[in-house]
Amino acid sequence: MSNFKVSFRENNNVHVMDLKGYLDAHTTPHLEEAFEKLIAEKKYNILVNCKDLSYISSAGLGVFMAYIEDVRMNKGDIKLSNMSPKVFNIFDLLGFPMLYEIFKDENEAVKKFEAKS
Amino acid sequence: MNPQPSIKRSHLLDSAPLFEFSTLVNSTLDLKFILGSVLLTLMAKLRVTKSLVLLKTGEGKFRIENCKGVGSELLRKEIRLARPPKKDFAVSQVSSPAWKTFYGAGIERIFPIVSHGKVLGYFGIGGRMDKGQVSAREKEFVDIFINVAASAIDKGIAFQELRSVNRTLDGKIQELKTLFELSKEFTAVIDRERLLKLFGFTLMGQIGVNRFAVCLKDGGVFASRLDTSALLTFEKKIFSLVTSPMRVADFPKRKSLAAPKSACEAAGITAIIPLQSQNEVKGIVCLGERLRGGGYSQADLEFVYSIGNLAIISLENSRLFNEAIEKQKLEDELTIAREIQNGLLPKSLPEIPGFQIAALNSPSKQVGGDYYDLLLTKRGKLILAIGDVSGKGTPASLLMANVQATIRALVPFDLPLAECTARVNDLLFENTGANKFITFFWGALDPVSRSLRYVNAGHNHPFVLRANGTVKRLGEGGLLLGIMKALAPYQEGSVKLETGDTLVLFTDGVSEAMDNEGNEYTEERLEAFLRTVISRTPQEIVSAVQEDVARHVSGAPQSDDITLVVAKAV
Repeated sequence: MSNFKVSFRENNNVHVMDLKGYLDAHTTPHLEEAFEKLIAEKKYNILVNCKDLSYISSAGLGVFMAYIEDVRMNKGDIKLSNMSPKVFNIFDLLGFPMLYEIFKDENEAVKKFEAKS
Repeated sequence: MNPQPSIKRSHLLDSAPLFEFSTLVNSTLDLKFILGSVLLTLMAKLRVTKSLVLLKTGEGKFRIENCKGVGSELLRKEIRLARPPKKDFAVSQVSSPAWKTFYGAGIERIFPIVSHGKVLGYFGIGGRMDKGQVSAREKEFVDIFINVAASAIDKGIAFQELRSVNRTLDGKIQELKTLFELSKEFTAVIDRERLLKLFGFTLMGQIGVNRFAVCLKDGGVFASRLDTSALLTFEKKIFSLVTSPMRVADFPKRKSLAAPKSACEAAGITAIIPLQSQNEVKGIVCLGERLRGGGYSQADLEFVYSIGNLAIISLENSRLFNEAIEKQKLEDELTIAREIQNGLLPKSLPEIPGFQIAALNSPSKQVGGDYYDLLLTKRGKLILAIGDVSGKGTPASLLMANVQATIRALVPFDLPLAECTARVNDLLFENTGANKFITFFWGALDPVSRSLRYVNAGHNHPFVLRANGTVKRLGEGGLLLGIMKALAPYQEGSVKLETGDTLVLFTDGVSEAMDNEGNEYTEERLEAFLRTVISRTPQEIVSAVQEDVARHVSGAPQSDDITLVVAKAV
């Protein structure tokens, strides 16, 4: 049994991925599949809601790196929201706030997507 | 008359904001906030429009941490001071070029920030609105003010250092966690693609790069947004050069390295890290520019080196594992081939009056395509067939099954052997293609007339060893089966077997059995040996030939199937 789950939904034309559980080297393929799926469907406005994400490892962060350029080349973005302080600390430690917009609340991020389009 | 009271009064006036300021800057450990507050208060108090603050960053080195009213290009600028002054001074009165820049920016006076006798940095102010000089009273205020600020700044610096140490530690802990997690995961993953992907994700997440390539010595390249093909034309040079992590900018200045270096630069490769296992470079990791810019620290490169070496060990293990699986697959396939072949051979030998019969099939490790069959027709004749299918393993076994099925289907029609042979040939040719063929001999033995009618389609000529000591070889027939449609009809031969005469069918696995020097057993030796054992029963003859072949090869591995069929008229 995997203790990591990705589910999809939409919020005002933004494709939201809800991450739940423990994202490490072992569960990374699930997130990879999730991104592959959205990109295959040409859904480039991606918001990753981390409310129920309890842990993320470097390999998990790497998945975001792998797709960011493709997504931005298609005029989309990967934004993140609702991180616990523990999860944010890992993002921060590895310099991700310089590369990704991270929001406290999902709706703020959605508004940012709207403002751009 | 006496100015004292007014000074005292103004001191009192000054002390309230001073107290307020002290409370403010001491209520926080945020250095940035402290510095900002200090500058603003100073500017308000002295009515100046420009100010800046420098903090010590190392021995004799100071950096502008905050500035107001002067060009922001000064921010983060570093200056070097051989002897940092401990007293305040007017910038116009010193000649040091470091301070001159400040004068150009409108900074006129410098005050040292001293705490516990150590210079922490300097405040600089300028652009006084009333163009006047700093009065003695103001100077006194500034001194007290800077004293208060100094202790707050001192604490702020200490806190910032602590925070930076903590962050470095957090970073190290994160690296260790990643290493630990990877070493755990790598041992559980044996799929090469998955291993490389995992390595890539970790690299991307930890180092913040999305352009990289893993180039392995065995030729495998796993790349993400990086083209290493030009670099890999210098593979040997690079693999021997990079025995520890190396930035491309740090390549030794050798003429022979100029081309690989420019190949790196053209492809955007900025660093190369070796993948080592047992002190041997088994591959390299090439890194492109970091996504957020900025070079790689030594610690970054060391980290990639560590996870790279973990990965290469797992990749090696995965390779060995896959090889073992391939070998197992091959063996499984051979087992299947052997089972097919075994299933095709007659389980028991038919009995026919006046004849004794024995047969042997000893498959080699690779399973060649030998075949023999013995069956009785409705009219009581014995069909003896032997063949050798081209190729080895499962394909040969399946073809052999085809031959057997065709023959068994045709025998009940009781057609003449020659015609049957042509039909078998045509069927095989249509179903297999010209690259597959079969050497084939078969005969129909009539127990009443004791005559054997036979067709030899390219097979080793069987022996008939007569009781009187003569030997006849059975060669009548035609082309081997399956290479072309039968144009000319096959010829039938006929031979009569008298009491004591022995018919020996064999495949080239017998005559071509090789010893370690490559010497074949040969048909001559087979004939000579058969003569010596001719008086024995068929079963004894089969065993004796098998032993003699074994004596010849003396331990060399059996390269082809060995098949023998012996029938003796009694």
